[in-house]
Amino acid sequence: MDYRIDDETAALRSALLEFLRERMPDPGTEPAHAVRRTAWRELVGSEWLEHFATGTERNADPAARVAALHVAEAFGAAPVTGPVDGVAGYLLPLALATGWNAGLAGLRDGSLVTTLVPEIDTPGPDAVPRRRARRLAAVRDGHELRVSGVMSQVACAAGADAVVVAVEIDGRPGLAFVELGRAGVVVGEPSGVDLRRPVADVTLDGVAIDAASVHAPRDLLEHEDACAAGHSLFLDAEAVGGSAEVIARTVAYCTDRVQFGRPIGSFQAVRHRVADVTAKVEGARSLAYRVAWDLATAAPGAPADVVASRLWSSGAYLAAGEAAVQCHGGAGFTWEQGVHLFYRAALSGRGGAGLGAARIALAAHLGALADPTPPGPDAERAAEPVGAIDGAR
Amino acid sequence: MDLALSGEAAAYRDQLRSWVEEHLPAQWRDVPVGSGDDAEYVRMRREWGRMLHRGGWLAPHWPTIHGGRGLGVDAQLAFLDVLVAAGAPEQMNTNGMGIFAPALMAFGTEAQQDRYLGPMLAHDDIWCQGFSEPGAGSDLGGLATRAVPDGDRFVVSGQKVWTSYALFAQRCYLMVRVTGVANGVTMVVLHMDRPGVTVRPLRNITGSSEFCEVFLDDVTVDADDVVGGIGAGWRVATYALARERSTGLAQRALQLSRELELMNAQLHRDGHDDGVLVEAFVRSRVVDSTVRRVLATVADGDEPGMLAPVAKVLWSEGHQAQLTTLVEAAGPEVTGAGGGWSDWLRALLFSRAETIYGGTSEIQRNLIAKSLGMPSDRG
Repeated sequence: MDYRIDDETAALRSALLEFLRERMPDPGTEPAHAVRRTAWRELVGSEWLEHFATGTERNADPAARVAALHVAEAFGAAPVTGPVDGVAGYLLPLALATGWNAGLAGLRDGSLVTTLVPEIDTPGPDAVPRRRARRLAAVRDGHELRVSGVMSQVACAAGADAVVVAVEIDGRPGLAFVELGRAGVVVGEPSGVDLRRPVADVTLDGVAIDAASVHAPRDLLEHEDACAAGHSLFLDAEAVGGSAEVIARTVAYCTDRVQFGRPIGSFQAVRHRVADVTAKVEGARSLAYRVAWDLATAAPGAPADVVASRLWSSGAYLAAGEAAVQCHGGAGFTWEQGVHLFYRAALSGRGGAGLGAARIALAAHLGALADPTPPGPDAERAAEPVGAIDGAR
Repeated sequence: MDLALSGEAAAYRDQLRSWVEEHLPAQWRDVPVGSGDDAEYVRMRREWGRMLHRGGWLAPHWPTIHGGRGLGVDAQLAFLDVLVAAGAPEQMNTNGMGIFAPALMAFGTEAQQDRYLGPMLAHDDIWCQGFSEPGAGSDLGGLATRAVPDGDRFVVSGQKVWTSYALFAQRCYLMVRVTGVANGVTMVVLHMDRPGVTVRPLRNITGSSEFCEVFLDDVTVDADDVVGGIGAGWRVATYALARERSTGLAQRALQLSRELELMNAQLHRDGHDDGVLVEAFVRSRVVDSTVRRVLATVADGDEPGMLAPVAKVLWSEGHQAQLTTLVEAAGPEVTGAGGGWSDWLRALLFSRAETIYGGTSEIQRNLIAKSLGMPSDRG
C-alpha cells in the first residue's frame, strides 16, 4: 500500500503548472477573443490536454489513473480560458475509448471544440448512479441528417469552432461533430460567473450534417457514463488544485499583511479559518485519489463515491474560495489580488455539481445498501438505452 | 502509488476474517463505544483482547520479538478493516498499544520492552494514560505532578484526570516533572497497585464512569521505569501523541463508516427518508479515505505531518455530526432513548469527547496552521 506520488508524476505536474503559468493568459484579465484562440491552439498543440485521457484508458494501471488526477490539479492551480474540463476530462477520453477517429482529428487540429457533459440521471432500480446525455433528435433527410434542439449553457460556446452533440438517430444514441458555422446554428451571448468558461446556449434548427460523420458505436452509452464519471473526477482535481493555490496565496497574504502591529495570520481566528478549509481540501484530495483507484479496479460502490467526491470537493473549493476572499479583506473583494477568479470558479463548480440530482442518487444508493432486494422482473432496467429526446428544454 | 494490500497483508486479512466469524460472540458485535455497565464493558473488551492475542492476531505490524508478526502497517489496516466490518469491539489495550507501545519501542530500554509489551498484548496488564491534570489539559506543559528523586526510585505526588479506565488498570504511562533538574518533564511507568494511588471514578456526559481521576500521594516509581531518560518526556510524549493522531485513532475512524451502515439500515427499517444521511455518507467516505491515506503514509515510513491533525479534525467532527443527524432524523425516538436507539444516544453523547481528547480540535487547527507556515500566534 502506497499513497505517495512518485517523482515522475510530481515533475509532470510541475511542468504543466509552469507551462500554464508562462504560456496561458490569466482569465482574470479577460483576454480578448483572439488571445484566447491563440492560447487554445497552443494548449492543444502541447498535448497536455491528452494526459488525463491516457490515465483513464481501459486496462490502464490504477496507479496511472491516480497519477493523471494528480497532474490535472495543475489546471485548477493555474486557471486557463477554454473548455479544458470538457475536452481533457470528457471528449478526449470518450473519443479514445470509442475509437472515434474523426472526432479525435477535430479535437487535435487546434479547433476550439466544446460540448455538454452528461449529468447525473435519475437512478434506476439498481440504484447505481449513472450519467446520461440529453440527446437531440437527428432526422434523416436523404444522405444528410438534420439536428434540432437547444443545448443550454455550453461552456465557451461563443467563439468556438464546433460542438459535439449527443444525438439520437433511428432510436440509437450517437455523437455528432457539428461546426458552429453551419446554417441553422445560433450561439447566444456568453455569460456566467466563471471567467475561465463563460457559457452560452446553442440552438440548432434543422442543422444539416453528413450522416457518415455521426459516431454511433454499440456501447456508446456505457462509455459516455464512464467518461462522464471520469470528468467528474477531473473537476475534483481542478477543485483540489484551485483550493491549494488559493490557500497558499491566503497564507502568503496573511503573513505579509500587518494590522494591530502583527501579521493578521497570527490571529487564531484567521489561522483556524485557513486550517479548517485546508482540512476539507485534504479530505477532498484523499477521496478523489481513492475513487480514481476504485474506478480503475471496478470496486463496488465506486460510482456512488464519484458522486460523493464531487459533492465534497465542490463544497471544499467553495469554502476555500470564501475563506480566501474573507482573509484578504477588502483586497479580496477587488480584482487586485486575483482570488476572485478562484472564488468564481468554485462557485461555478458548486453550481454545476448538480446537487439535487447528486443527493437523490446517493439517497437511492443508501436505500439499496439498507435493503439490497433485487428489483423484480418487471422493473425497468436503468442500463437500457435512454430514448429521452430533449428537443427544447 | 499503490492502494492495494501487500500479498502478506491480504493473506493475513483473509485468515483473520474467517477466525473472527468463528470466534466473535454475537452479543459482542456492534456494541457502541462508551456503552453499558463499565465493568461489564471492560470485561468484554479485555476478554476479546485475550482471544485475539491467543489467536496471534494482535499487532501484526509489530516486530516478532515483541509478539507481532513483523508485517507492514497495511496489515494493521487489514486488522482494523476486518474487525470493524465484523462489528467487533476494540480490544481493551487499544490505547496502550496504539500510543504508548510505539513510544516504548522507540525510546524504552530492552528490559522495559520485554517486561511490558508482552503482558500488554496478552491483556494481562491493562494500561491507562496519565497525561491530563486539573491544571494541564491542552497546555500539558503546565503539568504539576512531581517526582522527587530518592535513591533508585522516585516519590511521586500529584493529581491526574481523564485517566480512562484507571479503575481497571494495572499500569499507567505517566507524565511527571522530576524536581531538582531543569526541564524535568519525564515519562514513567506507574504500577497502579502501589500504595498511595487512589482512583476515583468521575461520571462523564453519558452517565458512565470510566473517566477517572487519580490521586498520587508519595507513590514509589522505580528508577528503571523511566522511559527515554529524565527530561525526555516531551520527546516521548510528542512521538506517542503523533501515533495517537494517526494509527491510534484509526479503528474508531473506520468505525464511523460501519456505524453509518447500521444507522442507515435502522432508519430505513423505521421508514425514514433515505436522503437524511446523504451528507453523513459523503463525509464518511472522506474520513475513511483520509484515514487510509494517513495509515499508508505511516506504512511508507513517512511522517504524516499535517495529514494527522487533518484526519483527526475530519473524523471527530464528522462523527459528531453524523450522530447528531440521528436526532434530526428520528427526533424523539432517539432523544427518548426508545427501542433500539439508546445505544446510539449514548454514542452521540460520548462523541463530544472526541473533539477534546488526543488534542482538541482547536489544537489540531493550530497544528495545521503551523504546517501551512502561518505566522505564530505567540508573537
